[in-house]
Amino acid sequence: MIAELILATFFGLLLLGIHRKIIARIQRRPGPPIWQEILHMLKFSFKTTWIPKTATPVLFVGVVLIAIGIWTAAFYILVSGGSILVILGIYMLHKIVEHGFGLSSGSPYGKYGGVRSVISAASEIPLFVSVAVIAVYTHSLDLSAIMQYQQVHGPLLIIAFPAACAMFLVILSKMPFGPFSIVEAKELVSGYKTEHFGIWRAGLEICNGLKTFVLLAVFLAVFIGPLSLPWLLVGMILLIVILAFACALTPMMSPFDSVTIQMLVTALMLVYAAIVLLVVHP
Amino acid sequence: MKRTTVVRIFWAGAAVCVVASVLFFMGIIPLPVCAALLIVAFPVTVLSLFFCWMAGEFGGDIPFIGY
Amino acid sequence: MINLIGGVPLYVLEFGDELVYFTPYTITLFLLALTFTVLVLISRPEKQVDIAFGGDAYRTKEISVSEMRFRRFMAIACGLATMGAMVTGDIFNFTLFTAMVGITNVGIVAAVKSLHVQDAAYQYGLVALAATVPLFAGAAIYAAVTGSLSMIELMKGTLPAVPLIAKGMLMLGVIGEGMAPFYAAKAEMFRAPGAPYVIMCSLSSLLLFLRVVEIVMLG
Repeated sequence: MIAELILATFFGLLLLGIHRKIIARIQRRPGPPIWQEILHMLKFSFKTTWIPKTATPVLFVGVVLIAIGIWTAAFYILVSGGSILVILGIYMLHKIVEHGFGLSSGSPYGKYGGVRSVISAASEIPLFVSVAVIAVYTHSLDLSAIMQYQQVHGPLLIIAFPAACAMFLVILSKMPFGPFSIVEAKELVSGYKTEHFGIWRAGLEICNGLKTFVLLAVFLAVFIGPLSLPWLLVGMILLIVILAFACALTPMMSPFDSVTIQMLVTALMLVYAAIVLLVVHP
Repeated sequence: MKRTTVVRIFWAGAAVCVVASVLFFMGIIPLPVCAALLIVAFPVTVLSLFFCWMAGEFGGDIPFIGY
Repeated sequence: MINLIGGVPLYVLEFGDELVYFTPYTITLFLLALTFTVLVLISRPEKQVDIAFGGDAYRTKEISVSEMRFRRFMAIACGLATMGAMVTGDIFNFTLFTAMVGITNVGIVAAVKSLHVQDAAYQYGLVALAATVPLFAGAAIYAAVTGSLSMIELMKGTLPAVPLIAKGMLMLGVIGEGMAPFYAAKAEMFRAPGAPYVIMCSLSSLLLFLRVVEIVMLG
């Protein structure tokens, strides 16, 4: 099991590298090689590291461990076909982790990054609405049952297309350089991760790799259905290409606009959920 | 922390990860138990591995002095 | 309608009326609340750095020991209330724990000597206060319609169906404790120094929201 976990982490980092490369090519830059994020993680792990004097040491270190821990948990829930609600719970808790990263150092940049991550809590609500819609169709929230449903009835991507769009938006909001990545905007240096350097940042990179892998795999499992490993990897690469285009072609929004758009999406999703509940599946 | 301590933590964590995986494949422990062990051990193993690469033999940290 | 939301209950503790049960979902949430409560217990607050932008000046905020003690107490109380809400199998207990989380959230930042934080805490307190009305009303409708407040009984599916309005009110009550769009006042509270304590504010409302999603899907 540990081997799968490590492979997933490295593949997730590779996906992030592909993401960067495509964004660079769209913007007519050569861009870094696609394995840059893996090198990045290794580079940070070889840096001299200490804990800032102003930080709260236990939280400063503990939050890195928690970040890797929760996404490890999400990975195993994915592998065992467990409840999608738990994975979404972990997704929401990532917000708390970002918050912890930002606040624990005492740096104002980190603090504003952390506060922005709390403000962008609006992005999770469409997620729950889309999960509710899926539950209405499949009568279960277990990943294995959702995949079985799709084997019989065809992919949910077609049946519940707006729900897929909402979840795509949610994944987009967690992608670096995206329109909603206000938590690591450049006016805040690096946002919540400004003060986590050296091995702490390397740990964060591990978490990011695992997070990318899990989120993309969950999207494919929920909206496409069961896939064999090669097709899963191909699907994830395709998804990251689409995400890269979305990130490269949209400017980063101001925090206010970002929240407004997420609230609008939430409202649309609520209307869609009401239609599904009342008309399609009364 | 001293380098020897960090190296010990790393080997302990790595041992837990590997043993849990092996026991799972042999069917001795169920997946939730294996996952629970890995969730605790994996982050500690990774961070201690990174730390032992550059940890000095002496204790103490460089204080934060601002910019 | 939907089976196996949070998984099969692994363990049910029947303690008179106080029913406690663990499913894979609630265990995950409980452990997270426990982890962060332990972090509150063992960590010291950070020294928040203020920078005068445009200049080189920066200074750190100090937190007095008495202030730290009070806030730590409130943060631990908040953690305990959250843990209670995660594992309880009784809807009325859940609403009580939720109300207590609202109170302790104000308590966590109440000792901070900053006008912005105090204002935000006051506004948040008003919203949380108002939110308890639909919260308890929701639980009351649950009891009136089904004759039971036990989630285990609701899970069996033998009781009358719970009206949508009760579920909506329960949800509204929890959202009022600090989820979007009512978190606007709460965001200002995070200006307060003391990261381990302040983090409990956002963690508790997130976990409550995750739990109430499970509860409204029962019955």
